[in-house]
Amino acid sequence: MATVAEEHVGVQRTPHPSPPRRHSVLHQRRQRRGAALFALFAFPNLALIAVFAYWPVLENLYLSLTNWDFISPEPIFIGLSNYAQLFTSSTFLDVMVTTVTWVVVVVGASLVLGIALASLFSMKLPGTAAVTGIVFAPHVIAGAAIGAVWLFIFDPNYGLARTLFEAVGLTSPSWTTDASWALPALLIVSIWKGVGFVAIVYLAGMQGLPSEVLEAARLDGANRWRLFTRIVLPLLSPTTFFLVITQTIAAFQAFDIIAIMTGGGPASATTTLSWFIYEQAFQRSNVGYSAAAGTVMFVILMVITMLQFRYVERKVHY
Amino acid sequence: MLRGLTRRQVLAAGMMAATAPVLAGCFGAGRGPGAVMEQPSGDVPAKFADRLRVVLWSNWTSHNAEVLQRNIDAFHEAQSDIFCEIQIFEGYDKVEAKLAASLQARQVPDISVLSDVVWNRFYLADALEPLTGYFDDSFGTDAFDERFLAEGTVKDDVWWLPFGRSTPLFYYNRDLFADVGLPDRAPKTYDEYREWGKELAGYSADGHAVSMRAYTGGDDWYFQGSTWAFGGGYSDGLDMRLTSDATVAALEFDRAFIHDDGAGYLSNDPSGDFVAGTTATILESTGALTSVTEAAEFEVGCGFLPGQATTGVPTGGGGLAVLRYASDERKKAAWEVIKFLTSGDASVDWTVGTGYMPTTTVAKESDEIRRRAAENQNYQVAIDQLATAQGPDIVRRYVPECLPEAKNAIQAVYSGGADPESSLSTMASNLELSIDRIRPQFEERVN
Repeated sequence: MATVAEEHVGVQRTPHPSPPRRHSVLHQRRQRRGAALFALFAFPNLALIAVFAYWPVLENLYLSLTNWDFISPEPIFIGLSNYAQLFTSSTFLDVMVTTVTWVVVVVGASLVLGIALASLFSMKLPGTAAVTGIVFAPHVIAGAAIGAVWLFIFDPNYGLARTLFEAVGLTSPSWTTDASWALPALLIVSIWKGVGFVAIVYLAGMQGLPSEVLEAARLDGANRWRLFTRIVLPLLSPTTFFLVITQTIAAFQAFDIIAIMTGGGPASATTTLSWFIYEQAFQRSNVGYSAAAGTVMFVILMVITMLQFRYVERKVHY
Repeated sequence: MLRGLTRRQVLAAGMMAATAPVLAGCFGAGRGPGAVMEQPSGDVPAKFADRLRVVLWSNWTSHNAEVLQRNIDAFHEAQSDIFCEIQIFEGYDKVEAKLAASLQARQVPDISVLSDVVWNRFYLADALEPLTGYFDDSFGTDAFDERFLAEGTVKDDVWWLPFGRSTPLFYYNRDLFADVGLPDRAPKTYDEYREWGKELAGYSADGHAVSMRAYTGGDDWYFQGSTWAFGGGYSDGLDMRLTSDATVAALEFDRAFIHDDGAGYLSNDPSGDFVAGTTATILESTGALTSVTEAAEFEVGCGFLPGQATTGVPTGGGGLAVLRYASDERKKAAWEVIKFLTSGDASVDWTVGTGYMPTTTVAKESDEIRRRAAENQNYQVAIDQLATAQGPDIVRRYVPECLPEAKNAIQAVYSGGADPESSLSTMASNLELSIDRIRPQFEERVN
């Protein structure tokens, strides 16, 4: 029996015994079979993606053009009013400033601390395996549990922070109830939770680096710092690229720690975009306004990801 | 069937086929007069399989949930036609969010616990059943405390029945007060409270500096009370009173108490701080009286909230509402459940077991509750204070944005020492749009 490849080749090389019409029918039948098979495998997944990913996005877009309180029977179409209100609101501007601060600090600090830890782990000092596990553990613990534990640690009356501060003769700040300390407190917790994951991913990247390149650099007299900045960091650029995208998206969506520890307060000091969206929808019943903020977040994340792929990826060495 | 279709066309057709039924089910359909929605799914024990099922959504967890379940179990024993399933969502806000979602999913419980500042919104959306017609000679409106029942009555119809109701109380550490030389009572006015705060300054116990009051920023309930005490309030109908001199004075008092005198602070857990001895007093719900008394290792004293120009005691807590979209048969069965819970032994057991205020005539007049009040005067204080209590201002009840805005305003003052007048002005201006949004419904359904 001839293979598909042989049939194609046969048509071009020698006069085929079958008439052209028979070939066309065969070709169409193969196409139909292929389409049916494709449909069979793809439709269940497409249906799931359509219902649980694309439909909510479209639905959110529609809701952002309405005024609705969740309870009334039907949303009232109000066009772009929610967006106009959003972009002229000083509160939303404050929220965006907090969000950008959050994302930059969390992503930046996680990457810097993560790569530093990974470098430490790659030295294979005694106890590295245990320490790696301990550092990674917060990543797999629920944010709500972490928030509850850190609330106790930060308690200015009987928390661990109080003991540590008193040991050096200082008074512990009111971490989560002082508007100027609440955001730093949450940033500490968020970085602590995420740095283990970044370190493990960097460590995996380091272990995959070609040893001959590192060896050659050493023979050429590169010291540790030069080796790290000129060889290791550039070779880790695909890992960094991956981490920047995933950590940025995760930072934008941070919610559980904020919900448990401060509820966006005090006085909105820790209200990031994700909390703002929740608060508007579920505490203020401003579903349309919340949906408009959700759409803005979607567009921001899409644009950031596209820009990263368009410009940053060029500098990545695979 | 697939002849001539490209892969892209097959993809597009598949996407449309997958999304069409879901999109077709969105929003609003089936909410007209007489519409009936299904019950949420759940578990019915085999021995109750032949009974009519009633679903009750509750916010109460742990101990209070056990007391409620105990009374529902007694209801199951007392009759043979109805099975009531309690479904719990922790906290009033979770029940509210779930109920809102259930209306969209057209699958509603028959009874829901709703807080005093939430049920009004479901009333405005015409989601609640008027209950006046369900009362009869054997169970009339006089079964409930008149003051509490009035809070759930709009336009002569009862929509929301008092159940787990409370008021704030003034809690103080009697041992500490004696040690400092303060009188063994609550301060009569906020000015006196402030003077006592100054007298306490510098006092420490077990190496901790002790403050006079731990404030909560997570609830504006207490601030609502102090605005009244200073002669102000949130609103008069839908007309804002937030920037009135008296309301500003109430928040200015808190600012000075915390930031000028150093007598108070914003706390994550005022009750926990009180029990731990880091604060000498708190304003806390009557519903916490049992747990605070049991947890504290010192003598707990209770008194009326301080007054100033007048008294200021807000009621709070939750009540029971029946959903309009349940079938008539389910609504009648739901009423039987409510009747059982709010009369006879169940009502007394609920009040004694949870520490909530007695909201029914039978509970108020029961020997158990009188005995408890005689054994611990603090319970009697809570009952006596009811005479001056009142429901929240209209804006706090009907405008959902009011609570988060109020929390922002008081947190800005408690935490950062912001100017009270500008915080309240911001709150008032942020609420203008929200008030306008509900005004047509409010005028139609309430005024």
